[in-house]
Amino acid sequence: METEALIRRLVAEARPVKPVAHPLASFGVWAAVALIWIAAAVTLVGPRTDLAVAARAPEFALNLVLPLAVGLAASMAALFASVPGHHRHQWTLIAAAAVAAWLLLVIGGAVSADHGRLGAGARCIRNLAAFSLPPGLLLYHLLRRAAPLDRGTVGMLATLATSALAQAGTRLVCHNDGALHVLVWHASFVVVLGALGIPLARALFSAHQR
Amino acid sequence: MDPARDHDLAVLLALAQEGDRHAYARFLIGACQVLRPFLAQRMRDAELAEDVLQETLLAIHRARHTYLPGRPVGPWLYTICEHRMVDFLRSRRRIARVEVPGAEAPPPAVTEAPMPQRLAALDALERLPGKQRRVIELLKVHDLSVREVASQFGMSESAVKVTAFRGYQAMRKIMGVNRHGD
Repeated sequence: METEALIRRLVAEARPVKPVAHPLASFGVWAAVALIWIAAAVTLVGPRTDLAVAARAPEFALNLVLPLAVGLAASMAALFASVPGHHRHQWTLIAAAAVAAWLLLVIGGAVSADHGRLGAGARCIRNLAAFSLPPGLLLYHLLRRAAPLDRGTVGMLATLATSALAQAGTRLVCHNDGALHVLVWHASFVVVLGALGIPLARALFSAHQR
Repeated sequence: MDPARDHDLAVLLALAQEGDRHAYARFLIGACQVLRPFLAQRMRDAELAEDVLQETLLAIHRARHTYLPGRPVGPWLYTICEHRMVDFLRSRRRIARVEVPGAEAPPPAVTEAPMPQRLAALDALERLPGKQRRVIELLKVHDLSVREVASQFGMSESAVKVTAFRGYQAMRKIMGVNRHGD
């Protein structure tokens, strides 16, 4: 009887709704906007002058490709997880594997004898924040329109995605390839922002989306 | 869920998204028929299972725009139901932790109100912004004092009272109760 009353109430409240876009379509829009933004930001800030030389080093390529993989896989995982019944664990696993590989590379380099110099990081942090903000806002907007049931996980994946993509862009403007510098100023930003995504999402994705 | 039933429910939900209330009512009734045995298998207490079913219906209502027409409805339905069940059990455990243990301990405050009022209040509470919701949860669900809530949030006691008061007003508005004190 009580459940029937609830059904009557919900039916009385029901208005037409527009179905959300398929997670793949949302991902396509987000990835295009994020990559265009980062390319524009890199051009605006000015790519490093020794880019052609730096690109020959395998560490540089890995520091570019692995965060890029993290960004794309984590955003895909977040968007799929925000539509009930569409969660794809493989994207989360790919993002986790790429994060682990990247952190191993950076930490391994930082504890080795040839860890490079720490250098200043204020400019890198500023670039990382600027590169990640618009894609982050767009991704949170797309996620809010859906229904992230597991808000903490979705939030962590979303901030991890945007900060990792920003890290890939920042490698193109930062002259310091030292593993110590990358660990302290770049990787720590990605890790901290990823962790902050949990409380952020719990605050931003209100219960009406669950 | 068998494919024929899944197809029927999927068609009804797609119609409901377009604003067909009759189809929506049939969909919700059909969803109850599917989810009741699903919950009964996982929860020993039939009354609690019915509570979770009702919370699942509220969640379905809020998330009905996330069903993608043409796709099977079963995974969508079961995912929402499982999350509501886990959330419900977690919140009961949280409430149990803050209560004084012992035979004389009162049952959780959240189960005392009649179900329709409780559901309406919980629904309204869930729609509040984060801080208002947390303050009212601590005051009314966890039964903390204003002073305890103030110390948890690093707020003054008067700020807690103002936040709670605004939250109550917002809840009344959401629940459609305009008369003060209702």
